[in-house]
Amino acid sequence: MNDTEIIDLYFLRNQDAILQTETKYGAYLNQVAYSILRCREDTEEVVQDTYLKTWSVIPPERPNSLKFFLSKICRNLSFDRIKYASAQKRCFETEELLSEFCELIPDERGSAEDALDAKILGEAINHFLGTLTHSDVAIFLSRYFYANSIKEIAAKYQLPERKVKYRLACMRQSCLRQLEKEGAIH
Amino acid sequence: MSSDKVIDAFAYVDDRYLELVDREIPKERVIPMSTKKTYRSTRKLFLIAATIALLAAFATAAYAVGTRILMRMKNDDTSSEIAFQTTDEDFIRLGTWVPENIPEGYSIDFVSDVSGGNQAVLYRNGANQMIRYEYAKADSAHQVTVNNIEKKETVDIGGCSGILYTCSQSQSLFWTNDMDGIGFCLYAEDKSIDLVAMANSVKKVDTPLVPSNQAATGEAIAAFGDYRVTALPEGFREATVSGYPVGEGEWYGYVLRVYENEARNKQIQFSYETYQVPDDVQTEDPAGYILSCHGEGEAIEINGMPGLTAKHDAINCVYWVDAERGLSFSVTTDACSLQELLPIAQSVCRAN
Repeated sequence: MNDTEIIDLYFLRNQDAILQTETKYGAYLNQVAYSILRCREDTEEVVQDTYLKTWSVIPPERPNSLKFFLSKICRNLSFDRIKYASAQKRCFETEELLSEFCELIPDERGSAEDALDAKILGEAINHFLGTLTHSDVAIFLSRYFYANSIKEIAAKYQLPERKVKYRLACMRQSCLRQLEKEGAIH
Repeated sequence: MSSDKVIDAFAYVDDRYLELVDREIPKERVIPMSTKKTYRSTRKLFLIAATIALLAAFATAAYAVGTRILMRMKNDDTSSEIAFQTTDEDFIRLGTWVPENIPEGYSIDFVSDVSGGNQAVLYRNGANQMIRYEYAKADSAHQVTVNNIEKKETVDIGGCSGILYTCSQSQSLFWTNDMDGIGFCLYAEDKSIDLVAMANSVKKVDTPLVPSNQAATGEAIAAFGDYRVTALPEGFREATVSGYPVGEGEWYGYVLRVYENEARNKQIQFSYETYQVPDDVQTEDPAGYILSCHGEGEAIEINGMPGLTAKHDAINCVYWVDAERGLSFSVTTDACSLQELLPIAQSVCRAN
């Protein structure tokens, strides 16, 4: 079933919509959630929550890309769970990823950060992505959207892990510069 | 915690970028970081792909002879993606466009630089409410998504059509100057502001706006040296220079000079940046390590320093490393061949 037909099922309030979504995107969503949570039990719960959330927002929303619409919901729900989990419950990979997010906007920017709008910041990140090569976009988003580990990214793009690390470190610094230059952070 | 904000911000990443993650990237096409060095060129390449996609996916409209820009929209019930697309192969000059009519209580809070073919100005009032004004060249691959739309109106801005979106917690206005090939957008958190009046007051001015981070460029040049290309091909002139010094506790800084040939609508980018070999890399040849990060290419020497030539997509690149000063240099362009690019790289001199 194609995406338009699945979305139409949501609009018809036909519960087959969830079944079809699960058939087509279940494995993908499991991957998205697991990369962030690194826990099978939590992953299953988040993926189920993703279907429920999707059911509640379509309609009125009609996504252009169902796949990325689902992945954004799944990612948000996964990170929500991480944010509220105690530090003891987080694995090393998650802690490492969160520290990299802090590097993108250091904590000492706290005063300006309070006024930050995630949407404005998101747009600035889009502008930053527009300055990168396609391959760097893929590596950057593999890490910071999909939460893939360095090892996974290196394997996917056939690069040594150390080079992935180096390029991500450069891009984090460069992203911070771009956000500063655009006034997204002061 | 700032990481929460950043994590949330990634939910607004455009689908077109997420699509790139799924694509298989052959090893030889993976090129290393230096976001600045391929800035406009990669934007241009992206534009070609984006234009093809836009033609298929976005609403199209007939346009008058002489029109140099089209505003394309991809709509659904509650959101809209707006992109400015060039209809002209000729060079478009950005210029400086400023609104004269600023809503009461607002003043300029931040001015960005123009290195990406666009410039943004943030205005804030005493209540910390923001208006974001931005203008972009048609070929700058500028794209914005508006969500939670409650109302959409077509408005007239100086004889060109614009679209005003009233959203649940903000309003956005998009319009074009068709003859000059410039796209504009205004975003306000306060829904009572008359954005149409502000848009109608936008005028082209002779005096460029001073970027808020201009001092940073000067600091970067002072810190890393004032390097320039001294043998530019005929018709090229320096269009922009931007940079940022290394911040406290950080290691990355850069200077980027963009040279443009308006007649040919081509660019050459020259950048130099600091680098750092990761702690876990054991190497006695940091310069070689940094060059190897640029992918596969032919080893060369630039003024006695180790370098590399490479071709990434249609972009010819020359990289070299000054290990003594800890700087990594690059010259990139699709305006000439690698053979022609080499003497340009060799002509780089430090002015101070």
